[in-house]
Amino acid sequence: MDVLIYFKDLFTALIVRPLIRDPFRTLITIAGVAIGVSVFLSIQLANQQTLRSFEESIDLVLGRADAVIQAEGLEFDEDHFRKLLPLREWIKAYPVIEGYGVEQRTGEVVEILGTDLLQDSGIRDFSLKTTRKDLAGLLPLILDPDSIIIPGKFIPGTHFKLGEKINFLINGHNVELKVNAVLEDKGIAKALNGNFALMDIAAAQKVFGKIGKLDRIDIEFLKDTDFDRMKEKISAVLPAFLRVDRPERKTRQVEKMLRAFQYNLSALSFVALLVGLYLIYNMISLSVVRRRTEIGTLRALGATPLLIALIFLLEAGVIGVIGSFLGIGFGYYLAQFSLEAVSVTVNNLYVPSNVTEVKFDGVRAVPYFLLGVGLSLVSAVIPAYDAATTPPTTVMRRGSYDLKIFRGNKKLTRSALGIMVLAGVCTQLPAIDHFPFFGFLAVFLVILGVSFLAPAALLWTRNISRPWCIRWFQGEGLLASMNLTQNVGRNSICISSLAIAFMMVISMSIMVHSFRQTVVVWIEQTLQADIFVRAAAGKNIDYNYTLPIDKVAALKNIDGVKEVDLFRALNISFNDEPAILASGDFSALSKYGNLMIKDGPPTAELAELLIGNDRAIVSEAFANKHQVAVGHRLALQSPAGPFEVEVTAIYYDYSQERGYIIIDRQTYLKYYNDPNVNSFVVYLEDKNKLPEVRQAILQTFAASDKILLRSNQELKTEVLRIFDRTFAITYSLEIIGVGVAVLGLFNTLISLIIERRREIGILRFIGAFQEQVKKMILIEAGLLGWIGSLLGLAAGVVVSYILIFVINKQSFGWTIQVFFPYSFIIIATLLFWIIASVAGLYPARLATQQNPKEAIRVE
Amino acid sequence: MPIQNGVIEFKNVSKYYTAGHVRVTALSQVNLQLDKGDFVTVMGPSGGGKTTLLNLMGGLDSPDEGEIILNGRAISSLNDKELTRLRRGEIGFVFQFFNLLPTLTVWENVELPLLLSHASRGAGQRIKTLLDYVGLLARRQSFPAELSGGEMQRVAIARALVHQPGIILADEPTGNLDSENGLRLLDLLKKASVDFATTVVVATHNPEAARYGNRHFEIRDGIMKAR
Repeated sequence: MDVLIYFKDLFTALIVRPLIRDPFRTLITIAGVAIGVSVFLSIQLANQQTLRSFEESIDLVLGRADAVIQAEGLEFDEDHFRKLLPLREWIKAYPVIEGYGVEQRTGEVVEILGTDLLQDSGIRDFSLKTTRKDLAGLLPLILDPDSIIIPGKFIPGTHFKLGEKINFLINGHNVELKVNAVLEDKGIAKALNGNFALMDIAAAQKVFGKIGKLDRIDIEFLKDTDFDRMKEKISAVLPAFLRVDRPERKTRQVEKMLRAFQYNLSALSFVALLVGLYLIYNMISLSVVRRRTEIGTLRALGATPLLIALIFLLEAGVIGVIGSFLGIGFGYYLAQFSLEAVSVTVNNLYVPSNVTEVKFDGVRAVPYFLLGVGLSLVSAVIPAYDAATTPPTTVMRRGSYDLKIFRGNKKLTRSALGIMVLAGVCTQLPAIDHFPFFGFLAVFLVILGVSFLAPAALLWTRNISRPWCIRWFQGEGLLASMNLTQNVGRNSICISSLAIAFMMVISMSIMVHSFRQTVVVWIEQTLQADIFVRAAAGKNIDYNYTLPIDKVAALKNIDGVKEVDLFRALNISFNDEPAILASGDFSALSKYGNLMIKDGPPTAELAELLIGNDRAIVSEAFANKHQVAVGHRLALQSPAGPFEVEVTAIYYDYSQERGYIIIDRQTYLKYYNDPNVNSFVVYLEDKNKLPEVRQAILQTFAASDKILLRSNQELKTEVLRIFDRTFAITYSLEIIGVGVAVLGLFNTLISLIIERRREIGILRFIGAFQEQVKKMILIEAGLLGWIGSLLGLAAGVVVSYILIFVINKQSFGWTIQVFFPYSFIIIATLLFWIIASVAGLYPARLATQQNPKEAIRVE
Repeated sequence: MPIQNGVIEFKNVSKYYTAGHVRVTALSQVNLQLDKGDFVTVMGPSGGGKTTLLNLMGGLDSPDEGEIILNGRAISSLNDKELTRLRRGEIGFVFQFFNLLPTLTVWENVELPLLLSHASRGAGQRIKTLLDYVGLLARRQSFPAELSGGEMQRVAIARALVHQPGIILADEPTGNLDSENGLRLLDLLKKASVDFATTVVVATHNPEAARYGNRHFEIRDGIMKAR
């Protein structure tokens, strides 16, 4: 008990009071940690919530299924359902139709599940409230072909009641469905955040144009629950193209799809946390310097080095605890915005997502809290060790700190160069399980190298800037320039954190600009057709929507149409990784279109090689992900049985990181017997006829199907609009990183001023005006900002190459040409430098407010 | 501006400090006139008011009562800028702890007051002469950390003289030196006061200092008496 009382007294006297005595800097440091933790947490929450939402919805929709039978991305004949009959003592099978409709009033995409309603409650958790009780209420659900069941909490903002009609756009058609029952708010009703509905399977088959077809069969094991044994039994009675999978496979596939995107976002958000922790290092270092007499006194009074180290570690711990606590609260708030930004990208590029709300609780907060506190403690280890190991005689000797001069540290500079070489080696190493581990390690090493180079950069700048500073600013210039190496440790930390934040801005901007320019060149060369049409549906990336082939084929007869190229795609898996199998009309493509070929014959020769042959072209992303080269053979499953295609060419594509395998339409029809198309492109005889042809196409589909038609220019604009929205979140993360770094500079300058009180006092004694002291601090801030900017710029260019040629290449599999956004880089550098200089304004004012005789008085 | 006879004049100057709720008298009713070339020593116990006297002479503090006239001007009427200009042109300081700027070389430390006055052009010869005068020309590229205490204080004297001030205020200049170096320093200050016709005021505990001055004072509990 006594120990606790002593500890409380010591804690209050040695840790709490010093923090309270310096509230401004304590608050800045806490704010830095809080921002770092909150940004990291918000991105993690948004990422996790997106995945969890998929997982929960998939779980609810699949119910208690032990296995799932499907023909990836394709419906299959319901006759196959009957083949399971001999296994009825082992399994119970539930046929499923799965489709999407757009609710017309809100424009929201709703997943509609068609099941055998009489049986289905055996596997899925739901209960119904019908229009009438008992059989009278249930019968319309099965007998009425337009009957639909919606959750009590349907699409947010809608209030459909029993008996009401809802208009959906399904597969390009307007469909009116009647609410004959409402799901009670439990189980499946909670799936997809309310964007969900149930139908009887027969009605769903009709509505989705899948009469006699099924999308899935959910299986419940009755006797033997061993998955592998049961899979063997089931597979034995089914054709090879029907896969028997564990229910959780769908979640894993979504995870794999989003993995690279989410990892990259997490890494970026971690930088803000890292920069925030520099603030703690800075604060504790200063605390050690300011309290050196106190350390000496405590040592003289018998305090052990461990107690001294503990004082500073606990000081960092207190800041870490408060900062992390605030950061978690703020991060939860910020996560709502991050979630929206993440959803935009996921919806545009990966899979339809309905997640709108971040779920978070105390238990989930614990790891982030511990991370914030743990990293805070780690960042205080060096200054705490310094304080503990410096002999008391040295810490108490007046001026022993002040008189240190820095003449460079060759060992540090050599280590920096060694680290950079190691970073170079890392860029040459392959990905581990598609994750660019060594690429991220290389970026980390560059950050470390920059930190190690910082003292040398300070020394070089001091030597180079000195004559100029004296010429332009006389005494103030000389002092500012020479001060760069006065407190090398803190100045180095300051410029490193500035450089790291700026490095992220520069590297991301070069990467994004290069990516954008590459996409611009790619769409300019690849998008040759004049009109692009697809079935109007909720999302671009969904291949469930098709257009009837008879109407599409008839378009060739429209006056002014030269050719129509038909496109059909299926979501498949290849080597258990998500991929897209697509088909196109290569005769049209070779004649009028263009692909940027990476390896293989030019587009014009592809028709001859692919039409009528089991050959394919694959996108670069696919080739990289699966290590496929021209001449390799790919094994695929189809309703007509397994078949192989030979890779004829690899082409550049930036639309899907999953990667495409593209075969000719005739080959597709041969194996898949699926004539409908997801989209088509039209080549015109005369480009001036665009308005007339556009009108004619719209009229062709007006009565039956809703389509989305875009001209060449409109599509290009749309592609770039999606691109820019996708990268919006990265810009926000960069700005936050810079904000924290500038806070660091601000903090450093204030620290330096507090440390140099005496020196500023001397200057005032020997005749420096207040304005001159102010000018000196501002020049110093400008010089620090300048070194930070230039180091950041150089490191940013290096990191941009790592991002483009290692991380992006290994994560997404595409080649990006490097384009430098020169004007942005120049403006950003100047702006960053100006912001850094402006950060010196308040510290400069603080310096002039000091009383010289107080400052110079013997401590 | 050359300083006339009667460079510093104190008329009934008093200064008080408040420590907690207690009012402490630092200087009480001081009357004083120092002339050009005077070498003045001020002695007394710690806390007696020596530093307060020097701060008032240097325009770093203002009196609560009375008037201080420096070179014919009442300094209590000057604002911060004018006081800074006064220090820059007419006063040189020497401190107990040398207070050289650690990042500057010996040469730069001496040059600094001229750089701050934007008057360093053509002053190279003057700096060289001064460093030679204090015996440190050979060490002009050294940093303070590479000098001994005595050497640092000699650099401080060169710095105090570089802008040719009429007055040098030295607060315990020997306080951090051994006795041999202390005496050498006092020799140097004495020589400077003669060679440059500068008024030197030395606040010190060192009884040896009394041998150097032509005028001696003692301050005890704020009361200043001529010895």
